[in-house]
Amino acid sequence: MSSPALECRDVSKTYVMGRDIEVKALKNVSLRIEKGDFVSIIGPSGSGKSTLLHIAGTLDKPTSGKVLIDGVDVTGLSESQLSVFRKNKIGFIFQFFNLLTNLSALENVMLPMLLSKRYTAKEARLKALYLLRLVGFQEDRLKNTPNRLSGGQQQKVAIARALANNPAYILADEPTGNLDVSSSAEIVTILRLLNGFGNTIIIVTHNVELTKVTNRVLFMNDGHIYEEAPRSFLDSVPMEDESTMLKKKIQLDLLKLEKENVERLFKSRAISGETYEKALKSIEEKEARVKQ
Amino acid sequence: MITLLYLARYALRDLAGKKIRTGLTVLGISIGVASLVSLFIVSLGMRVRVESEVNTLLGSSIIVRTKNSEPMSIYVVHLLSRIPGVERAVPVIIGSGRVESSNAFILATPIEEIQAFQKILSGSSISSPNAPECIMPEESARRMGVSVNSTVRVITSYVQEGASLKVVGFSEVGGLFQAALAGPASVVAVSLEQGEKLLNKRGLADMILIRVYNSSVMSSVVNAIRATYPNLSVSTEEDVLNQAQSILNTIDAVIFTISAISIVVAGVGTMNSITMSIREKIREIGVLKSIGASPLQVLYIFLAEGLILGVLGGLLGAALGTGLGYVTVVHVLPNMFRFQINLPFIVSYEPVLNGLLIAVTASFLSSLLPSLNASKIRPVEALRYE
Repeated sequence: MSSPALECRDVSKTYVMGRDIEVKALKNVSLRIEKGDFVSIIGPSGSGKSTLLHIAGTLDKPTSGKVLIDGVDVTGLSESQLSVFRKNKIGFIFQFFNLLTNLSALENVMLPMLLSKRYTAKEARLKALYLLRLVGFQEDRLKNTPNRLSGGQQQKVAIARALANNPAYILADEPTGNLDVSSSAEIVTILRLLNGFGNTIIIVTHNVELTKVTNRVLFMNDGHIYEEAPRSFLDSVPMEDESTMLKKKIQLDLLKLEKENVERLFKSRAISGETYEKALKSIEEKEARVKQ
Repeated sequence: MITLLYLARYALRDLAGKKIRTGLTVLGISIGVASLVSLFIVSLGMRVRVESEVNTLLGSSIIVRTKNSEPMSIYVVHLLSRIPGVERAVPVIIGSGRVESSNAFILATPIEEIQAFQKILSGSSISSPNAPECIMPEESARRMGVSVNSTVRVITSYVQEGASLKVVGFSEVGGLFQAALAGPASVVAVSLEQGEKLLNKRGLADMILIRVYNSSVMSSVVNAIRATYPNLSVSTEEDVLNQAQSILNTIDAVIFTISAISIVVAGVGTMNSITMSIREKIREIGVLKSIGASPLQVLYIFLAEGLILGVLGGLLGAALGTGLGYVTVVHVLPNMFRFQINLPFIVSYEPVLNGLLIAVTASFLSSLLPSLNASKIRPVEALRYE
C-alpha cells in the first residue's frame, strides 16, 4: 500500500509570545490525507487552521509530533533541506495570490521549475504554457505582470504555479477569499477538475460553501481537528445574563451622551431645528429598542 | 546557471521598478568612483611628467653637491673631469636676486651648457661669456612685460647697483631648476662669468653636473666619486626619480584616502538601498521561499541587486571620472594657477579598472549583510507581513 500524501501524528504547536504567555495553536492533531483526496479544513479564525497549513506546507515546524509527506518524515529537516522538499512536493495557493510582481504570468509559473533545476528554460516555458492553458488562463496575457491581471486571472496563474513541480499535494489557503462570486466559481471548478486528474488538494477556509465541493471535510476548533462538525460554540452562549444587562446600561448611557451633544449643537445654532428634531427622534427610537 | 540568470533578471527588474532610488544610489557610487578615477588620472599625469622631465634634463648625468650644501671650489670640476668615464663636468652657480623688482633665481652655467638646462624657444643663446646677456622663461618674461632684446635690471645682495642684462632669448617654462628650486619662481639664466660677478661666487660652484660617456659606466663613476670625495653628495637620475616618486606616493595615499571615504559613503548608500528593497519585498521573499527558493537563492537575488548597482555606479563613475580628469588636466590645471601646470592626459585601463573593481567590491560587501538577513527570514513570518 502506498504511503499517504500527508500524515500528521500527534502534532502540537505552541507559540511563546513573550514571557509567560503561551498560545497552544495545535493540540495533538493527528491526520491522514490519502493521495488523490480533495479535502477542506474549515474552522473559525484562531482555530489553528493557518498553523496546520504552515506545518503541512513545511513553512513551520511542530513543537512536538511528526509530519510525514509522501512517506518522508520532514520533522527533523533543516531550513535548506525543507526548501528543497517544498519545491518538489508542495504547491501553494494563497488568498492574496502572492505572485511575484516583477515577473510576467508565464515567468511566475516557470520560476519553481527553474528553481528546481530539473527543467531547462525551454522545457519550463513549454510546461508553464500548458499549465496556464489547463487552468484556462487567457493566452494573450502571458506577458502581463500581476498588476495588469484581474484577481481571478492572478489566482489561475497561482494554481498553475502550484502545479509546476508535480507536488504531492496542493495547499490552498482561502483560495476564493479575495475573489468575486463568478471568479470564485471558476477557481473552484478548476480545482475540482484538477482533483479529477489525480491531484491531491487541501483547502483551508472558513467559507462553508467551499466545503460542498470537496470529498472530505475536516473541522478545526481550538487547536483540535474533528471529522464531524463540532457542536456550534454558539449553542453554549446564553441569550441573556448579567453581562448583557450591563451592556444595555452602557448603550443607554451612550445614547444619553448623543442626546446631550445634539441639544448643545441646537442651542449654539450649529444645526437647524429640523435636523435637531430628526436626530432626537432617531435617538429616542434606539432607546426604546434597547429598553424592550 | 539558467536559474541564476533568471534570478538576476528578477533583481534587475526590481531595480528597474524603482528608478529614482536606483538612480540615486548609482549616482552615489559613481561620485566616489569618479573622484578616484579623476584624481588617479591627475596623479598618473604627474608621474609621467616628472619622469620625462627628469629624464630629458638629467639623462645619463650625475649631480654633485657638497653634503653641507656650501659652494665648492671650481677646482673640483677639474678633479672630477679626470675620473675615468666622465665626459664632461659642468659647474653651476645658483643664487637668488631681483629682476625688475620681482624675485628670481639666477642660474649660471658655461654658455655652451645653457641649452641643456633651459630649452630656447625664441631668440638666441648668450653670445659670449662676458656679454651682459641673459635668457628668461617665456612665462616669467611675459609676466614682467619683457620682450626679446629688451634690457632688464638684475639686483643681488652683492651687486646693489645692479647689472643691466639684455634678454636675448626665451626659454621653455619648467626645466630642472623649476623642479629643483621652487617651482613657479622666475629663472634668469646667465653665463658662468656673469653669475660669478652677480652672486659673488668667483671660483666657486654650487653644484657640478657630470656627463658620462655612456650609461654603463654610470655606476662605476658614481662609486668612484663617492669613494674619492666622501664629503660630496652624488645623485643620479634614479635618485632624483626616487625622491619624486616618494612625494608622488604620498600624494597618491592622500588621493586614495579621500576616495576611500567617498566609496564608504557610497557603500552605506547601497546598504540603505538594499535594506529598503528587502523591507519592501519581505512578503515576496516569503513567497519565493514557499515555492522552494533556498536561502542561498534568496541571498543571491539581493547580492545581485547590490552588484548591479555597483557595476552601473562603477561604469558611470569611470566615465565621469575620465571626463573630469580630462577637464582637470587639459583645462583647469594649465589655467587656474599663476603658473602653468602642463600634464599629459593619459587614459589608462588601470584607474578605470580599479574604480570599477572598488565599486563592485564595496557594493558587494555592503549588500552582503542585508542580503544575509533576507535569506534567513522565515517564510511564515514573511508571508504574514503586510
